[in-house]
Amino acid sequence: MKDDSCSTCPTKSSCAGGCQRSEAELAEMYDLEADMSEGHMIWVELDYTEGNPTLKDVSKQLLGKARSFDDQRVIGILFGPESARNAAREAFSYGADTIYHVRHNSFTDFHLESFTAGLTAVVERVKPNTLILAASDEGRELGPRTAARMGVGITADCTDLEMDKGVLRMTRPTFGGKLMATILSNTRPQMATVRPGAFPLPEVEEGRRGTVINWPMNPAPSIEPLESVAAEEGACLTDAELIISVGGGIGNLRNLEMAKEIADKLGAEMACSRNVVEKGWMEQDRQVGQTGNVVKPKVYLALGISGAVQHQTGMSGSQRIIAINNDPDAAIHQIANVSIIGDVGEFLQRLLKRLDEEKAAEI
Amino acid sequence: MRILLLVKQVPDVSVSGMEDGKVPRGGPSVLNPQCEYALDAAIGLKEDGDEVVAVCMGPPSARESLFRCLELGADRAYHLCDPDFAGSDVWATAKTLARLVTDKESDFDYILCGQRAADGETGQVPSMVAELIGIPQVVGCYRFSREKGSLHVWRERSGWIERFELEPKALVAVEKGCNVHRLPSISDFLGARKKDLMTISRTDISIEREECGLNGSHTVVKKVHVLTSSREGIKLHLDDTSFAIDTVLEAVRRREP
Ligand SMILES: Cc1cc2nc3c(=O)[nH]c(=O)nc-3n(C[C@H](O)[C@H](O)[C@H](O)COP(=O)(O)OP(=O)(O)OC[C@H]3O[C@@H](n4cnc5c(N)ncnc54)[C@H](O)[C@@H]3O)c2cc1C
Repeated sequence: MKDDSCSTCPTKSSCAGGCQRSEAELAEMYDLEADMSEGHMIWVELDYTEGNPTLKDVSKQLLGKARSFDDQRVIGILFGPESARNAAREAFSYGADTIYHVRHNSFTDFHLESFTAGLTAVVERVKPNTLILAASDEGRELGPRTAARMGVGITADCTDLEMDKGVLRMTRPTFGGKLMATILSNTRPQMATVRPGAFPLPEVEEGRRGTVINWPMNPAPSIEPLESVAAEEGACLTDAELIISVGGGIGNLRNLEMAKEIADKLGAEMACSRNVVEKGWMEQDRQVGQTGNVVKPKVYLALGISGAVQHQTGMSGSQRIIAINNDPDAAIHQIANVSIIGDVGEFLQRLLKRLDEEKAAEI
Repeated sequence: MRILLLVKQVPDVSVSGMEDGKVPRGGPSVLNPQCEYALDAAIGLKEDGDEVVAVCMGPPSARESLFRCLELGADRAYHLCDPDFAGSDVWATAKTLARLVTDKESDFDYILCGQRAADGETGQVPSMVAELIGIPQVVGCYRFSREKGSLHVWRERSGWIERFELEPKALVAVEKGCNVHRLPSISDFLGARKKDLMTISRTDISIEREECGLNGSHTVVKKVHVLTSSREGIKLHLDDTSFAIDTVLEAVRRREP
């Protein structure tokens, strides 16, 4: 079977049982000079939920962003078994020029040790100008470990990146989102992890092609969990699109029940501030903030929440914040897209009434 | 079992607030909340004959955070304190901490630390320290127990609760705690100021001036600005208009910026 998307060796064919060549052989075989000290490397994270490896949205976002920097090459690196080849094609359509496919059958799962070794090896060979990873749970480990192994700096959790004549300007929130810092790196590659959702999805360029470079690798020894059990319900706050969050201003349990009823009707997840947990009105696993969950829903509806810094830490990444608070000077109003100055109880009653009316009108 | 506990002191933003984008110096400071959990975990794991050694890099005032560790049951402490360490980024911080460990406490069994500092960094230091020392890591942990000489830790990731068995020489970053309101024993509390708290300056460990602090940092903060509001806020009064409800419902249903 001839497969022209593999350019590992001059035969340009896919080899039965996978490419057997060693790293050193590979290096000699193709022209690596083309990659030297240029280009933007993106760790392409894959999703295997339906068996088929596909790109995670954040990887598409990062490829698109790197594409928009300048006209340097965009080099993706992905880890996976043979079948991850399909994901490489997808990566081209989102802006990658070259994909390094670090290959082993066990790489459907994240292996911190192996991925660190693989990433370091490829980076040392390619010498990209920048190296960007998603600030996913995995990226937050792989990034700093790789940076430390290579002895370079890293800026974590960026919300914006700009490229200025080869210099990467990395912007990230600090102090619970109250300050934004723009950071430069004086080592190469310039490394950053970026929050998922920081950039829009790029347009797909169907039929855009690139080069796949195979990088066979033996897994490094790593620690595996003794056991994994599915976490109980309630842990889904971090993926919720719509969150209704209540604070001390909710006032009484009757209002809390109304909020829950509305959440039910709108398909929202309930969350709360620490104040509400301390009252014993909601469980700690629903708390948002520095000592609770970090959430980034499309809409965060804050009911009677003052907006303390510790609370903001957990929700300032929300795309849209709507706040209801009777104190016009409450901190939450400063960060809200829509501020309603008024009583929570009254707001809930009206909203519930409206939803009931709509329902009645439907019937 | 010897546990090294890496902690950080952070400004207490709930008290001091911020003006003109400057974090007030010399304001009240506290032990970083996630380090508090790590301390709690370390003390919870400690049995007779074990040692918990706290390590903190920071200005002279950071001694207070170390005293807190000693009061709650840590046995000894190191305070990495030297003007040469000032201005460290994550890399320089990790390097300095790792040097202290390899120079002075290389016979540790486990390193525990808070996952993230409340004042800016985002969990890079634990992974970097583990890498520089050359040991495995498990981050995001919230539960800990001892089973026959090894440490079991739990964490939650992508909807799964994972349990790891760790042989000695591993780093564990603590994200949450179960029992934060541990009270000190009277003897620890009263004896804390008599426990061994060693101040370490740069020349006490094998790190050059160029390798630490601002000089040794690989990243530079180019500018900082206050985020008053990145969002174009609409202000509405609930009063007697249904407009507020309309706006909210529309925003909720559209779910787009
Ligand atoms: C180390 C540390 C960690 C912390 N971690 C967290 C954390 O993870 N998450 C967290 O949330 N907090 C955390 N906190 C606590 C935080 O500082 C605040 O105390 C807390 O968030 C306050 O909760 P709240 O806004 O719901 O309550 P309150 O401060 O009581 O505010 C209630 C708000 O409701 C408004 N209100 C009152 N009545 C009404 C009404 N009838 N209609 C409309 N509005 C009304 C008031 O104007 C006020 O703004 C932490 C604190 C510390 C020191």
